[in-house]
Amino acid sequence: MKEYITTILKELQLLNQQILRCFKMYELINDINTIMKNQEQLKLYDFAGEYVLSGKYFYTLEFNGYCVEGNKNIKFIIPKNFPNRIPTFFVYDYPKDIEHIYSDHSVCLATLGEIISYVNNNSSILKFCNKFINSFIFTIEWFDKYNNYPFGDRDHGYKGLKDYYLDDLNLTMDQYKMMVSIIYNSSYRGHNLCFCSSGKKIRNCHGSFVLPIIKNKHLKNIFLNEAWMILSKDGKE
Amino acid sequence: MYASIEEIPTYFYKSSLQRAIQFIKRHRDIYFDRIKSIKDKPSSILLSSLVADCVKDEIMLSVTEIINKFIFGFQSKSISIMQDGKILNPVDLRENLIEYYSEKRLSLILNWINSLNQLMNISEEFRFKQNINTDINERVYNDYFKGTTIIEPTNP
Repeated sequence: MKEYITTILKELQLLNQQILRCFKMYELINDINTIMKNQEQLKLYDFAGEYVLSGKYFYTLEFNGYCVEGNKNIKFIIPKNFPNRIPTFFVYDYPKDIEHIYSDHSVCLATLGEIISYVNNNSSILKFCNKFINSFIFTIEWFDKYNNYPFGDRDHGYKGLKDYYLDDLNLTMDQYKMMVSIIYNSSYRGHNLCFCSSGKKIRNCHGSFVLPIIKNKHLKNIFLNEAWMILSKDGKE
Repeated sequence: MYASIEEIPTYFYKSSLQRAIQFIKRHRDIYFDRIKSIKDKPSSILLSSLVADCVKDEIMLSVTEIINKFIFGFQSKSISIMQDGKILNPVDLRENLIEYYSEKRLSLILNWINSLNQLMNISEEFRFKQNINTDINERVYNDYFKGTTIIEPTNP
């Protein structure tokens, strides 16, 4: 009888996870349809593990009263299990001197830490699109005219990656190493004091950044990969 | 005996020349602010001298014509006070108004003039009004942008 109940509970848990996945998928499709609205020259492809939006993306963007309107050839790869995996964005029209676009036209939208932190708190692809993609397109338009970055840009390589943790998460290098260790060993305990020395419990402090990474195998892998780049100074040490 | 300053007269009508200089200076201020180089912007006395000098023998010009003459004159260095790499003060021809301007500053000024030229060369009215909105005054022609999305700034 006990075994029977355990099996039923496990099946219910699986069913629950499946329903949650379906709900997230439904939300994702809804968001993608919203993005596709009025985008007549953007095509949506449905592949096995991902959606691909490809073609001309039309936009009218504004920041602080400065408006830009236009269109760009883009490709936007959205994993079907977003936000558990991070999307990739490619752009094909841009000024030649702009940095942060690789030779395969993929874009460094922000540091991994910043993207992870954002998707942990905002699971909507629409919000992702506005935060990273529209912002980058605005940057391209601005750069084309004024030859600088409207919101600044980060250093290349490990320095830029590290800056997010030091500047935005307000950590010292030693505190960052402690955070890496907690994530690597999955040794999160919410009631422990936070590694940032704020005096708060970790669950009320940097826990909101750390815990979702520990729980997500893919995010954990990319976080640790990034940590290796930071700690080894791009593999030089 | 005492230094005195003449009161600025109240103008009820601004001439095309005044309007043109006002427009050019506004474009300059916004451009140099956006390239984060305010200290490198050309001085107002320099611009006023150049614009006034390039139309000194002409009458009844519109604001657009004055701006275009200034752009052409600056780019082709044909304004009479532009001589041998100097820009002379029209009230004292011994003074070079750009004597202390660095090469970098002069190059930025040329970039700015090119940007102003691009704005003045937009032939499509709709696009011209959009650019007036972004480059001169964000309170005008707002409705020429439809369904604007306000972005969240992110540094790449």
